[in-house]
Amino acid sequence: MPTLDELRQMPHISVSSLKCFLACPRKFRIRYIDRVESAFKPVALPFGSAWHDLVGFVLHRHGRGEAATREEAHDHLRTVLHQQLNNDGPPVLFEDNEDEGQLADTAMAMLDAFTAKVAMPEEVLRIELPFSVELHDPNTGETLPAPLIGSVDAVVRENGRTALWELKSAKRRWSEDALSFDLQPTSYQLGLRSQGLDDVDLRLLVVTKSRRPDVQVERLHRGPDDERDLLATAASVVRAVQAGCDHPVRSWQCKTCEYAGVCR
Amino acid sequence: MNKSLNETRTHSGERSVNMDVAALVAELNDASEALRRVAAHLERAGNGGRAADNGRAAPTSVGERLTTKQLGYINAIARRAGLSRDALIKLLLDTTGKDDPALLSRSEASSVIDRLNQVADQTS
Repeated sequence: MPTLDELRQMPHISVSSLKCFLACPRKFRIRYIDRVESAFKPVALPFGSAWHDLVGFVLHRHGRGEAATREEAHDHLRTVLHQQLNNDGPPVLFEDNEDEGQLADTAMAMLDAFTAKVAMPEEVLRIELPFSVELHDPNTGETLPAPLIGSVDAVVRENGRTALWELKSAKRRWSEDALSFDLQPTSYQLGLRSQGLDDVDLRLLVVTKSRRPDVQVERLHRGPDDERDLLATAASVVRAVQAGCDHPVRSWQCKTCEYAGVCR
Repeated sequence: MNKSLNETRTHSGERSVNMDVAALVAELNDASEALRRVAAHLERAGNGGRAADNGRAAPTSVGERLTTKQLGYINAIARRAGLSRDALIKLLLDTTGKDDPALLSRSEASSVIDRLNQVADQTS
């Protein structure tokens, strides 16, 4: 299986791109069809990448039978966070009252909260597992023109069962609606099945990005109806894009849109 | 593009295309403007949004850049003041020597926000 970066170089569908279209077809066109580089990158993106990397580092050491010390985790985080914030590409913009040091402190507080609440798994099977799944229109059976791609954060064994761990850093906990309906866990279920992993528990682990982080641990359920919804959404978005649907959706999100400079 | 072209059939069945020249010119101008904006954005991205040649330094440190909130304010106030994107860029150049809001420093962003509020007050 190619890496996620390699999969992204080929025509593909992703939950991110579907959500982008549903939020604003104009933004979708600018980003995915016109391929305009964004004017900036909100700090949540590099911070989220650094957070994933940090937890992956801890899980990887645990999987080797070692326990990463807090100092080792901190050193790893500082290196990764600095890289993420200073990569080539669009400039990263902070939120108010943030700087690199404060973000590192927040991430370590989040890690402390995470390790205090979440028991390490019995076995770490895989960290960052990419997948590519062929999709079919649930109404016509037609194969969609590009596969659904993504990457599962971690596959582990816990309580004698195989589980997917989806790690999130967020401003707030996931709502009940998001827990029930978000497309991303559904895509992971499809992705894991394509890798021969069926009957996998879906675990969402959200750590809030704050001075006193909250850890939300949820077991998610996605059934055939949820998978049909994902397929129908993907098929519908593909049809709309092929038809040239690219109207803007003006909202509060326009103020901080990375493509405001070319949208109007 | 089809609005400017009206295809008809002559009495002998031959195709005839009537061209609304004014509409065609308008459509070509719209397309040209869209391409110009994309080119300007790509140029700024390629140049890293460097300042105009008036000697003002462009901070590159991530910690010195404006915040997301400041950027939101700039876009919101510009819209409230009725400024087009080009007019906003001109104001940025006049105030800071930079033509890309994403590369302003925090203090430059504060200056731009103050200036935009003045413009918005004048137009309200």
